[in-house]
Amino acid sequence: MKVIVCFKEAPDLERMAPADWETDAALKPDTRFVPTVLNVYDESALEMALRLRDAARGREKTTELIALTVDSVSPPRMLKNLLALQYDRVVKIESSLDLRFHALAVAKLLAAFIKTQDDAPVIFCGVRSNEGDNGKTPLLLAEMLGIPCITPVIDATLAAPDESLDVTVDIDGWRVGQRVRAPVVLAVGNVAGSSLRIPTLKDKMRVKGREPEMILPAGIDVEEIAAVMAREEELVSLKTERQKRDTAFVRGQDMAETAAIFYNQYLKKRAGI
Amino acid sequence: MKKIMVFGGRMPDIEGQIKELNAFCRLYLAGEIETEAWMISDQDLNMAQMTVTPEVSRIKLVKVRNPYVAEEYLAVIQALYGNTHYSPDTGPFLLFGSGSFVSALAVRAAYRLNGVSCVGVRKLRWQNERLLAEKMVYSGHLVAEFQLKKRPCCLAISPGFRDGSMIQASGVEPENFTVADLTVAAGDWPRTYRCDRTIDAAGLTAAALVLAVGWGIGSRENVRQTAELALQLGGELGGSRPVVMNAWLGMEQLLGTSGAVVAPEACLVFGASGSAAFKVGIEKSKWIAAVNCDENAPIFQYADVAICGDCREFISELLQYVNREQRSGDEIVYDRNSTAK
Repeated sequence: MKVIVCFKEAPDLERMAPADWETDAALKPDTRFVPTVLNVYDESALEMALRLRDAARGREKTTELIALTVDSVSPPRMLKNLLALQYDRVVKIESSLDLRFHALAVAKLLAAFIKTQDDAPVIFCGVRSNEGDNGKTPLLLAEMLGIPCITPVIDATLAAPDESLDVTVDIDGWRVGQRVRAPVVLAVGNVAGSSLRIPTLKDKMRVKGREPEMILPAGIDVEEIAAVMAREEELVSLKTERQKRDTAFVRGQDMAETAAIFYNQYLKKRAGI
Repeated sequence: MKKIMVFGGRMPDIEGQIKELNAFCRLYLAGEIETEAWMISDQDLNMAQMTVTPEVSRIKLVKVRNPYVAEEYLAVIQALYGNTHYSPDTGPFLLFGSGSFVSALAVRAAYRLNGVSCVGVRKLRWQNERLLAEKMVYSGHLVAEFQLKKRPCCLAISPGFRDGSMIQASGVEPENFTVADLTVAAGDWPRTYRCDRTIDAAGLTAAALVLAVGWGIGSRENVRQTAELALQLGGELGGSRPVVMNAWLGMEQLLGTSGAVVAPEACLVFGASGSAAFKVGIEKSKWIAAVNCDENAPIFQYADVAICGDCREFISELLQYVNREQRSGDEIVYDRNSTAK
């Protein structure tokens, strides 16, 4: 079974101070000085794929794992960590385009690479990224590849005895379980306890000398993608929104008194309490 | 310009979609003359039994085979849309609710109909004949406005649009449509299929009082104590993403950009610093009180009442106070020198 995980590493936006959100002429905040983190949904997807690989090994089945990213700010350390975690290939598609809000372009670049693969893959993606919040990439990728897309996935396990997957989805108060097989796009949503495992020193030593692959988009006219982006939609403003309330601080002599004041002066009269 | 509301899934979710799209359209698309609703479900929808109906002049009902197989719904949308060619100026709006299933339909339908999509739309306006859609980006830190240049324009709205009015019996007689080739649409997948109702998240979104815990709550045991407080106060409990990802609360209790957006009369926030993503989940609350040990925590920027201190200690004291009051039935005048708490 071939598994491709599309991921993105992005600035840790919670490290930005309010004053840091000023945008430049290209409508971009300067995020270069904050550390990067894996997009939370992509992190779950990367770990989910590793668990599938582990389960396949237990059944003496082989799984090829590919981690794929486009125009990510991922430092080499992060990409190498994925190699250390025994991703067979870690591929970064280089792009000079501003892809923050252009899921269609991202999907085109991903699809171009995936179409070069011989085997029908299971493709994992996070449901959305933290910068663009587009919520579109896995859906458009599936449309371009002409394959099903299941979203938002909370679990995917290997089904016996063939290479099908049992996929669980939480949809607006319904839990849907279905057995599917490749090719399929699985858009990973909120999954508890799915932090990406950390490679050991031994893991890292094992892949010493191996490098992630940096590739240019093959068979893709980047100018044409830029033209399509411009025809579809255009970012016209990007701003902060300040909705400061008039805050009253409650202070008692100790916490017991603070709780009493809070209850009697504020809480008791609200919401029919 | 034509306005088409697209509803998909099952009851009672469809009623929720009707309420939020009615509310959105009254604010931003009230002037559209030609209006339709496409209601797609595996259930036999009975409009007469619904508590609300879409504010449209025509309703089309279509039945699919499986409850949440997107390919079937997309085939229906394509069939109903037909081969009509609209100009970029007059092409229709296809409006979808905020739920994950229908939002995904908006994106894929736009691709198939050669249109444009936007997910999480919270405002819509025209400026010099340009259509501008506003949404939150950068995990809720920034507001972006996009000009949408193609048609059809498939918009999935942001959570939080609420419609208190109950519009029943609009007088529009629903028309039943069938789409012949749903088998082809879904192919031979899924190979097996099961759909079960999970815990109803509506309890959280409909609550008058919400208690929200953040990572500063410290432990599962403290979350349990907060749940006890919620029970005593008649409120519902939710949490920030770190709390839920650590399985201290269920996923249906997640508040924020990737979870529920609540708008209660009162919201009590314990141990949450106030990240932008979390803020989106509670900022529509009429009144917010926050407890945090950091006086400069962002949560205090949008709280009406702030308590700077250990939230665990505060919860414990408040719970004891509430218990004592409920036992006595009268207000207790706090006596700092009293040893009996």
